[in-house]
Amino acid sequence: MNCNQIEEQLIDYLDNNLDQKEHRVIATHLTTCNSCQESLQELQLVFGGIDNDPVELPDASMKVNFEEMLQKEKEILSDSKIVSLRKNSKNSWKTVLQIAATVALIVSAYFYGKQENNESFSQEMAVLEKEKVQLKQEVTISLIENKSASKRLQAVNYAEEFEKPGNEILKALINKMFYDDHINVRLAAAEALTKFSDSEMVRKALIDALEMEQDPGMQIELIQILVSIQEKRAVPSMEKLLQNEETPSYVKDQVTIGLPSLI
Amino acid sequence: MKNIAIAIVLFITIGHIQGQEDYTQSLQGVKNVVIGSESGVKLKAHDKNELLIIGNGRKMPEKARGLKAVYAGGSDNTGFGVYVQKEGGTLIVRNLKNMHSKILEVFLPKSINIKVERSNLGKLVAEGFSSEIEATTNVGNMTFRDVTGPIVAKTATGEINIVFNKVSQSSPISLVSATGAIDVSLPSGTPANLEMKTAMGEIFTDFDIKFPVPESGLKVVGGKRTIKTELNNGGVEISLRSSTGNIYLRKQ
Repeated sequence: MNCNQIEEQLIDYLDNNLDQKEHRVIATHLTTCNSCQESLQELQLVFGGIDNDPVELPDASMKVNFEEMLQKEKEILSDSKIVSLRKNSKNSWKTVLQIAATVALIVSAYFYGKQENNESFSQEMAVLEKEKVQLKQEVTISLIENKSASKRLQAVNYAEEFEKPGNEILKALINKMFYDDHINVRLAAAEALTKFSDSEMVRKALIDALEMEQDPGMQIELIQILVSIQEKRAVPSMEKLLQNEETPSYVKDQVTIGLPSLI
Repeated sequence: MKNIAIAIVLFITIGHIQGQEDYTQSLQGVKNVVIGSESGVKLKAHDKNELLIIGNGRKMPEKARGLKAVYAGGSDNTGFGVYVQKEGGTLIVRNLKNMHSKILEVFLPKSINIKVERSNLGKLVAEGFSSEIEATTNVGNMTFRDVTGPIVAKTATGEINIVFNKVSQSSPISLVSATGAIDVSLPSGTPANLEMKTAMGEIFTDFDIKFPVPESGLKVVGGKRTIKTELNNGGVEISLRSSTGNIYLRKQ
């Protein structure tokens, strides 16, 4: 080891952090090397200085000063407490008044607005309602041509909800009753049309439908509808069903049950 | 090393044999499948986005090697007696074999919309679909299990048996039978607007039906019996109609 390396390890040597071998090497080096010995002594001096440095403590006068300061601060704080309390009580009255004023304003505005707007409001509602019905009609018309049978059924249900459907809706329903791909949609359309049997167009369509119908399920539905709306013009086609040998017996039963109440 | 090679060869051969036995067709971009069949049809859901037709019993006989099967219903473009054609978002599957042939077994993705066109004598079975099913049969029974609807189904003389595992609230369910019975099981918590109607059959259920207070002077209409009620505060429209068959509505 040369002097530089030794010097680097001198601190560890002083603190006894080295293993025996290194300790011995440095000890033997120190006996021969003057410069290293000097470095060691300098280090010892510095360390000694650090160890002997007394811990500084605040003297008693400072303690007294601090207590005085604390007392002063406390007094200032308690002073401000009183001030703020008075302020608060003033504020709370103000707040109550403010809230009361706000409530009064809202209430008066509500009544004023109610009185003022009642007429125009109901007019606006009527316009909105009309637009809503129109929109619903459009949705129904477009949905009724949907690819999915379930969606078409939904459209038929929508159509049934109209109080006074336009001709377009009625025509769409009649069209569904005659020609839909799926019999369930046709049945639902026929049933929905029952509600609008005030219309001559609907009544005629129902009569024609029974005349042309091949499906027994649909025939039964139409017989029931025509009986319930007391449509006497359907009697000939019902009698025809009775005479037809191909008509299933359960369809004939429906006719025999319904026919007497029409004649 | 040798063993691994043998295993790989084995797997490839097995895959190859299976590939030959069943017909598959990718359903990329297909939303609806339309199925037409004279014989019975069995539809099952699987996780792949493809159509799979079980080939067992549909292959050409050994003697027909080098010949082509010809059917009255159209050309066999699959070699399985089935015509398959993609038209836009719709896949058309037409069973060319006659009504006495083996049941047509088809696997489809769970969420694809299915329409089964008028099959005459054949029965229809569908399992595990969460999509819309549309079906019409004449004589054949319909059995749907583990489905959610919407379902629009009609049979003339067949029975309709459906077990819903959940009821889709998206659009109406309608089941119509002329003379067959309708048997439906719903989860007890299903919200629905229920309408049951039978001209000459009977209705049985373990759901609580709230009967409307009869109006005074109600006109009695021959044989027409409709029950309208809300289940669990109302929801999707469910309509069950039968002319002479009974209606069974069960809690599940």
